[in-house]
Amino acid sequence: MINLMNRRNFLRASGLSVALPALPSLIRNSSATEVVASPLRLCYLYIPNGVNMQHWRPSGDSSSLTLNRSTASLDPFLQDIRFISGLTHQHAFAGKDGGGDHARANASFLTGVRAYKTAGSDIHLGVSADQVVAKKYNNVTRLRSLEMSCDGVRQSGGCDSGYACAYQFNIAWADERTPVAPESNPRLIFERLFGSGSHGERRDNFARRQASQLSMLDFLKDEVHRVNRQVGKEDKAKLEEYFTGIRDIETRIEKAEQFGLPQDPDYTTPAGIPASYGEHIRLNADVLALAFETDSTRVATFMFAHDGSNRAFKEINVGDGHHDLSHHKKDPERLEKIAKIDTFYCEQFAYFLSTLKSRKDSMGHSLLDNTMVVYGSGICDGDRHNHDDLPIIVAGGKAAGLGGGILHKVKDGTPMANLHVDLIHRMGVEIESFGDSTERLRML
Amino acid sequence: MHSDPIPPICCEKPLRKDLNQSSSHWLAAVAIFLAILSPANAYSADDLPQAVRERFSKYCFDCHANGSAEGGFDFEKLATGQYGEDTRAKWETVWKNLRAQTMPPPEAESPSVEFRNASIHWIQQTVFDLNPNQIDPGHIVLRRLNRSEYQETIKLLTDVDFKVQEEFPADDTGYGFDTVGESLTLSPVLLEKYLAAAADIVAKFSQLEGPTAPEVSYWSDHWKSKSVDGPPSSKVTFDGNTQFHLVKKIELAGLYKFTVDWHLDNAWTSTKQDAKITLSVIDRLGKLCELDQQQSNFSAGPDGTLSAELKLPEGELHLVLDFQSTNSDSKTIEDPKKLNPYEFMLRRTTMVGPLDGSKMEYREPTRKVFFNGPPPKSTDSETTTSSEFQATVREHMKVVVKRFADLAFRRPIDEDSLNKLCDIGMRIANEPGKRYEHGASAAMQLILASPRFLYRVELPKSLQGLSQRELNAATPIDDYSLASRLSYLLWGGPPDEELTSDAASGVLHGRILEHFDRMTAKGKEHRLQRGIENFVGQWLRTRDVQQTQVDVKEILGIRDDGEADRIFSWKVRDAMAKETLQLYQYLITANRPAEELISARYSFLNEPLAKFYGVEGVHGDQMRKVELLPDTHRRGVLSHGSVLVVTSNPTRTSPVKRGLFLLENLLGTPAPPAPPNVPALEESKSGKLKNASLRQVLEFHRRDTACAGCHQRMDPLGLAMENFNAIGQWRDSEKGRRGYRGRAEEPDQPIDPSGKLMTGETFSSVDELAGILADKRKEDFYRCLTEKLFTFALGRGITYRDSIAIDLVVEHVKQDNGSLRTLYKSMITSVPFTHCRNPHASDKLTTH
Repeated sequence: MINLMNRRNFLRASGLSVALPALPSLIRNSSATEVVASPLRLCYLYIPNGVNMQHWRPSGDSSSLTLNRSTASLDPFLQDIRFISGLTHQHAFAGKDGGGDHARANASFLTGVRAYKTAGSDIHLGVSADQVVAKKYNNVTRLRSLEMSCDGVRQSGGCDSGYACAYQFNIAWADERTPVAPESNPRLIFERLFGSGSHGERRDNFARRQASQLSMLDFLKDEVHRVNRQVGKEDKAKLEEYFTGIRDIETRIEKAEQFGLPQDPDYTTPAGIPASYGEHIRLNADVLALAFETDSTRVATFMFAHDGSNRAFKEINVGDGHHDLSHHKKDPERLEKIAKIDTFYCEQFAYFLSTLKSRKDSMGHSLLDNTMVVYGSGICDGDRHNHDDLPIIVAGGKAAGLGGGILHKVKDGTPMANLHVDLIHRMGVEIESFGDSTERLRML
Repeated sequence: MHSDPIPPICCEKPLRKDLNQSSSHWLAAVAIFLAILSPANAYSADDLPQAVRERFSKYCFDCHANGSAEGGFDFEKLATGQYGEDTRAKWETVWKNLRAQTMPPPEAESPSVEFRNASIHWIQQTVFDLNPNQIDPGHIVLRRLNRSEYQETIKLLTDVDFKVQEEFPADDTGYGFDTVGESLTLSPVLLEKYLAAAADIVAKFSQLEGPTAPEVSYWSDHWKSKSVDGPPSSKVTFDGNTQFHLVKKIELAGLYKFTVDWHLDNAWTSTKQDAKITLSVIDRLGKLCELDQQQSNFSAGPDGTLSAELKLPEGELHLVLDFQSTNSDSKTIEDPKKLNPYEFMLRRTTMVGPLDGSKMEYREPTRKVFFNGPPPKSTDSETTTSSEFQATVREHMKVVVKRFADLAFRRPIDEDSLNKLCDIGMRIANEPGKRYEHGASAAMQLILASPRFLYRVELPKSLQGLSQRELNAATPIDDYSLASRLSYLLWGGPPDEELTSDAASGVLHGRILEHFDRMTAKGKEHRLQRGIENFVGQWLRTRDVQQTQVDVKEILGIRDDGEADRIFSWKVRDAMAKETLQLYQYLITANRPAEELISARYSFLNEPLAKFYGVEGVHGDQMRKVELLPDTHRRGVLSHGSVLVVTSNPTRTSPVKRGLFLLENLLGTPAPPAPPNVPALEESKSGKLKNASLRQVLEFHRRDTACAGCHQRMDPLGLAMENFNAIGQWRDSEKGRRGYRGRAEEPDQPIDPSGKLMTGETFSSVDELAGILADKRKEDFYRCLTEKLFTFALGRGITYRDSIAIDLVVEHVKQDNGSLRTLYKSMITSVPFTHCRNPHASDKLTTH
């Protein structure tokens, strides 16, 4: 429990402390675990519906890498990336569950678990790799983790073939039943990290908002207890979500005592969701890079789009829907358009890498070297809906010992969860297995 | 309050009492129907194998008994209980397949409709042990307000239009709707957003600087021209002079401030037009006293304000605005050959005062919430810190906070919580630099962040004289819960005063149908529209019309972006969604048969949509009812642009999506997902299918027996709609694909919409298909719509346990010639809608 007096004193003080120099360096010295080395970060970027492998798959081996047409934009980062080919999500395959490959691909990507088929009740999956790591860093950074997407609007009605929408729109899962919903509006993500208003006002606003939240907590706790007494067992589980949220805010206010107010980056608050899709991705990527740069979080997921997305790409003159196209039936025109979309996505990925590469973290080290970025899809070929031989790239992470310029071929059928085990390990969490992993994949 | 003990649950009771406008044959039929359902023939374990054999051997045992167990299913194993724990699940599969008519398969002998229905009922009673006299209401998981409900609730509570689309993430849906409690999760991030939203909303309606001098605004129509009694007018052109008059009563003498806003209409480019405008007041002696004067011309415009401060006595105030043209030359300065006559017009006139503080009040929208006005002021004899004075202010605050909480929680707040809120409010109000308004609004902020606001808490009705344990397994929900269920269903927002007041007196259960009539009557169209948008918007997906991505150039084979945008403008899309929504609303308000949604030879159009459809004689942006002639090719929802667009791919139609849409949403027999590892639909057009029409491709596809079962049901429906292209315009042929890198250009293919339904009916056009669906298949439609509406209204998935309640509604609708109103009335009086499981008597329900 938090000492109430302390919290209040702190916040009262924090309102006045704006003029003081930023505190992070002091804080870091006081927490014994990491003083010298830069912290390591982990982030996952998801692209939907698989790729046109013919133009995507690179050539090379464990010591060389030659890019293909769709991924040519990664050329400046050749020594920072490694392709891994042969990874599989067996739980995304139909099995006995029939249709719904997009929901399963999306759901299993970071969990390595088969989504329980239901349209609404009893959703059941598993904790995702990013959230395993987030748990460890819960008390180390201001935010436990950051979840982003570019899917602001959703189709009404049901989702993929009898699967609850939660599977198709979330890749981060706190536990079996709780998706961690992504935010798509870059303004809201930014304000959550740094406070609202323009540069110079944000710390004040942040402190004010936190003070306002704090003043509400005691009453709201009474409220939730009151309702809890009135409702039945199943509803208590629902209220637990509310209560978790309250505890979360408490924890964060407690953390604020430890961390002081957030930094106020000299960056214009995004106005909202831009009309152009590419701009939207890049704006979110900027905010994500800022979050890492300011050490606001160590873990993030970013869905460029949910699997099954039928988005059209006017900006590259592909008017067809992506999902529709992905059922290409080997038609050359469709395959060509898919390659164009793959190229588009990869260019946004390259933009993110260039942002990371050009920035230094608070310890003065390259952000890219200290961030492990996984980029890929839970489907290989959209026409076959196969979930083996997945298109996966791991970028950055030199500081964690990851080599670059490599095409790492693993045995066919190797669970992607083996890669998760490795990354989780590198993030300092000792686990033996994860999802359907068989062993730790040793990355080169 | 309610004093009579509630009689044991009996589903026909509320219906008998309330559906008074229906004829007696209707009730008789229902009684017979109930008799059929009575559980007279419960079986003992010993006769089951025999009963199953008698009933199912003819049609099912060839494949599912006597050693053959196709699809891993053996009827004899089922009858003899060899499936153990899976027994119920297996029976459910049998029941579902029978209802969906997926079994027996098309190539086998098919049972008659009567036999099929009898078997379905047999399973319901005998196997599922469903008792029409004790319907299980099911459990509704605590529902969070979804985005739309949150927005509407805030709007009605505070007049603040909160931009939920921007501030909150999209809600997860379950079973196709965003009202499903289990899917409406609350993440920590969302809770934070709710707290922030509470603060933002309260800040928007609270006047934290305190009350101000009274302010009244008049729109321009209060001004008269020429004389006090002249015609209302506020406009004049520069070629004449005129005087405008405004007369208002002043109730309190004192100093007032006036502003009169004016505007130059049509002032695109500069001309020499100029006028002297003078604001004057006529004093007690009838003398004109000048207050303010300006020149009105291009450089001073297009907007200006005349203002004055003036000490006024009680009584009549007469303002005069004099317009004297000083130059009427309307030749534009850049191009003297062009004329650009301006129009001088008055806009808002505002009067603030008296300014001496003798009367202080809140502005809109503060007034809506702070309805009892500013707190009392301390008199000379008491200080603001005296306990009497503090108590008076607190009492004042308590009144406003209670009303706000009652409305926000959709039920009265308890005294204990109310006192806590007032304690917090008063503490803040007395902090240095803070005012009463800070305190009251802090309390309201807490209310908007409370789970009692964010969730729809439903409680069982407390029943005097009976302990909870003595009650039936199903128990009525309390009247406040019922008020919310009804109002969120019909209006998508919180209950109004009438509902709340009947809930307070505990009579709502008995008067629910009167409320339905009231809530769907004239004057409530806007609220009803909101509720319908929530339901139909998701059921028929009209919510998606605006954002569905289409490549109009590709679909129409044109090259110009501008032309594409003109043809399929946002106005057309907007009208498409409205067309479907308004037809549905009309069926309710005009008491039409539900199946007219499919068969109506009229629709709701405006000029942009009518033009888009090629319907003539509709002018203006206003939607209105239009009779459709046969040559328009339009009939019912199958021909609505909304449905046609949302079931298409961005560049082409998808007969499979369209067929599936009709199966799922009109016939209620969704096709199961494609079996694993089957090649995707509309398969390769290479090889022998080169230049084939989509129909031929699909026919080829159906030769595979693995696909045939479902595609025989989907494809004819979708192909019948092929005469409508991907943006919903009529066409006679399917455009062939352009050539591409050596792939030859494909010829156009004529469209053949004819087909045959699984149930045997044949049709030669989409018009005929609509006719069949609305006639021969209308019972399927009633059931489908009822199931969708139950799902939406209850916020939970429908299971076999609901089948009796649903059958009853369908029976009512059938007996009342399809009336959509009857469907609603029957549903809102049904056990699942009006009851909940008794939390203390769950053992009384047969749980399986």
